Amino acid sequence: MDAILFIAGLVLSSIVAAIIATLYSLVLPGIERKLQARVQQRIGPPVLTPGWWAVLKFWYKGKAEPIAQMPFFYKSLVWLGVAIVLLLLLFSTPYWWGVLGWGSILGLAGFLKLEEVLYVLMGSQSQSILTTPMPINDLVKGAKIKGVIREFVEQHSAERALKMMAIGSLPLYIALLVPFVAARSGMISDLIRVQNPVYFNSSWFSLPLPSNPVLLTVPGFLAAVVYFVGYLMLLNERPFNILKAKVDVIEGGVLEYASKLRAGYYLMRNLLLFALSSIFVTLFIGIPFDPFMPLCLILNMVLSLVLPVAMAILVAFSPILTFRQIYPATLGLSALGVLALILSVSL
Amino acid sequence: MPKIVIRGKHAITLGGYVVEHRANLPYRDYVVGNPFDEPIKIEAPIYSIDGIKAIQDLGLIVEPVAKYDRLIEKLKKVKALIGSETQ
Amino acid sequence: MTERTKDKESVVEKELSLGPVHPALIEPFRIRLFVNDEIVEDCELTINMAHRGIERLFEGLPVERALLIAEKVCGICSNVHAWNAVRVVESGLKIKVPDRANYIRVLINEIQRIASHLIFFGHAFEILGHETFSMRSFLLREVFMDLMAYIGGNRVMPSVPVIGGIRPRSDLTESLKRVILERLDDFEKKYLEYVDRILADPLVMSRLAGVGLLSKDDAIKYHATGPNGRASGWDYDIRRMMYEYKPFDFNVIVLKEGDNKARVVQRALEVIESLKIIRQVVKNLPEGPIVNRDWIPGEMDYTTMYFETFRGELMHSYSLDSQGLIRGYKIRTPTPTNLAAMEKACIGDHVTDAVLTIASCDPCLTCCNRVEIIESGKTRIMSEIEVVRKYGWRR
Repeated sequence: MDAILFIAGLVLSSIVAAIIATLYSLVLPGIERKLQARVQQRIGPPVLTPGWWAVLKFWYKGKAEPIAQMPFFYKSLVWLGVAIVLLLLLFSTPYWWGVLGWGSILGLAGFLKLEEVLYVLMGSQSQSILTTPMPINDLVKGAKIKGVIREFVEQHSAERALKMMAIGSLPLYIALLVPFVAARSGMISDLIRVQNPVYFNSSWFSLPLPSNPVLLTVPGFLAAVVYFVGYLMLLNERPFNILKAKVDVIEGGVLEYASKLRAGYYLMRNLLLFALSSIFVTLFIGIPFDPFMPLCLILNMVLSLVLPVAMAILVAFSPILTFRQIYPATLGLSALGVLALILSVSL
Repeated sequence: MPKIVIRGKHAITLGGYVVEHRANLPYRDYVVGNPFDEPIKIEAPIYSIDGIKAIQDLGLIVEPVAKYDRLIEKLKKVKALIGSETQ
Repeated sequence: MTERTKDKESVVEKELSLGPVHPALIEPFRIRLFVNDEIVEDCELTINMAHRGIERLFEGLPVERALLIAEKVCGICSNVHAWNAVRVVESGLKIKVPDRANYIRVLINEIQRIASHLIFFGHAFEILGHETFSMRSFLLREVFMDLMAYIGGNRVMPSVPVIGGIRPRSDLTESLKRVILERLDDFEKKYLEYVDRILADPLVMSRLAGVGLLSKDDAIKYHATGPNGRASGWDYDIRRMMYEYKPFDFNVIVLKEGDNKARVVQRALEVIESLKIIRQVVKNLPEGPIVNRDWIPGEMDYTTMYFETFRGELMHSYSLDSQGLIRGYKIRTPTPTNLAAMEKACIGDHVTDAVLTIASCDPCLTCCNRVEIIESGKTRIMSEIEVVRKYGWRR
């Protein structure tokens, strides 16, 4: 009987969490774009347009078949991405803490890495007309012909995604470890028990506040800084958007997504924007995204505005960095993360 | 060196693609015609007479335009040459 | 600054091609990069993607009517084409231009130089990915677009120079002088803050410094004139040889590094010099007539005039036949030679930096594309008689 109740609770909490997260995550890009516009002394789009209306608009556009090596596989990657990011978020919600150990550092890091792989797959598939196949007289008499592979820019973006996977996301994973090391456990439930002990025995309408959040400790704060930059890298946002730099690879692997697929990609990207910041609040402050404790849920959502707002301002003030800058930046951040890791052992 | 594509059966004047005070070419301008069906790339800008020879080596029609020639007549001549080369 | 040896044996792994339709290239040209991992080993640019046929359009036109078309060669540097086109006939037919007209011609030219450099910053920072700096430069540029509208009546095509002087509408009134000086002071304050902010930004500087190296010898070899050559140490500015600029005191900015940062800084400093010239024009504007109509179109041998446009050396050359109709019009703009130099300069950079290097010469493909005869059934070559019947027989 308990098992059935638990499964019912799990399903219900997942549905509620997914709906709230999706609706809320589609407001974040509007806030982001509004902030960037204000930095640039522009009015900027209405808050709901970049998220809400863009997804609805794309959803109702005519069907457009992407040009890809394996179209069905290329199209399925978007929905796979949406599912991965949703599950990533759900793993940080209380009901999932007890399920097969997914509510743990392994579950989070594993699904984050899965999400990064998507960009490699997308880039290797997409073959847009904007670059190599453009009907231009390239290989005619008198031209410079090297007899080398004429690669699509999306494939070049896939190679960059592989590099970013290897080195770019290192800081975020190191930063993720710090709260778990501080809690001496790999499970999110133990981490919450250390940071917010009153949470487990408070009623559904109360607001359990953390007594000693990791964020307010020295290693926690250092890890938060590293997490923030890792957050930018994982979202492929400036200055670390080399794999979808408009200047050469245009948009990378997502170039060929149109209509419903682009709506799906927007969903995936915005959900990731919210999921990573919500996980930050859960791990570093100790307030989980709990669908059955409304005040706790709202506080998590409000606090998860911090990272997107900080990102919007940083994005407005930074250029695109090439690997000449990304490699040293990543090494430096990883070193800072390791320092935080060492210090967190002493907590 | 940047390239210019001359499409099949088309003619262009080099005009501003010649760095005239460096090249010191014997003629004021050149009309270049492509008698073939497929496009051909030529190098531009042209810094010396070698640039003109390179165009000729590609098999293109190069019609010099002397100081007092009529540009229109020369263009018509090259168009006619392009037409006759393909009959 | 590491000196990259560019003649080491290059291994090419693949080819990446961009353009002419590409969100980062605002000009229609094709870039083929031969790449090894991220490093550009070789490059090929294809430049004649848009066909203008403007020289063919001039052939046989009456000179005063043709020169209104000359301004349409380009949208960013329209005044230089209009001015240099009239300088050819003024020099060929020995037409005396009043001093006041020359002063106002210099004024509108320097205003447009600043507007052109600011659009370069907008485009360069857009390619760099820094939208805020890009938007800010367009915001600053509005001052000069308004001034061009006040003086010439149009933000992009002010049409100030005519043969023998300037259009009467473009004469400066006392109130307009005050407006110009006020706007300049306000602009200069904001502009200096903007340049300081750019130079102090470590991320932007790390993307610009030491990238896209063009040595002085290569600049001279490929004839990269204007700001591009002066950023590589080639002290060559045609304004020094133009009598119209003799009354004005200004410095020619020459830097040594020859990288993308030098090309940005060179233009930034050149804007300040243009502000100095504009102030001198407004303060020392001589009285007197603004146009000399005492001339008759007649036979003129081939005359060539060189001009310092915002991107480098510009050449206009044509002759007039006995009826004053234009013959053999040739225009050479700086972009083809600048792009030849940039094609060499981007070797050794990352792919993302190479696109920035190519854009750092401020290419203006609109100017540089030339005649192409298109037999598409509608358009065809007009014979001599048809030209006379269309434009009438000259007296």
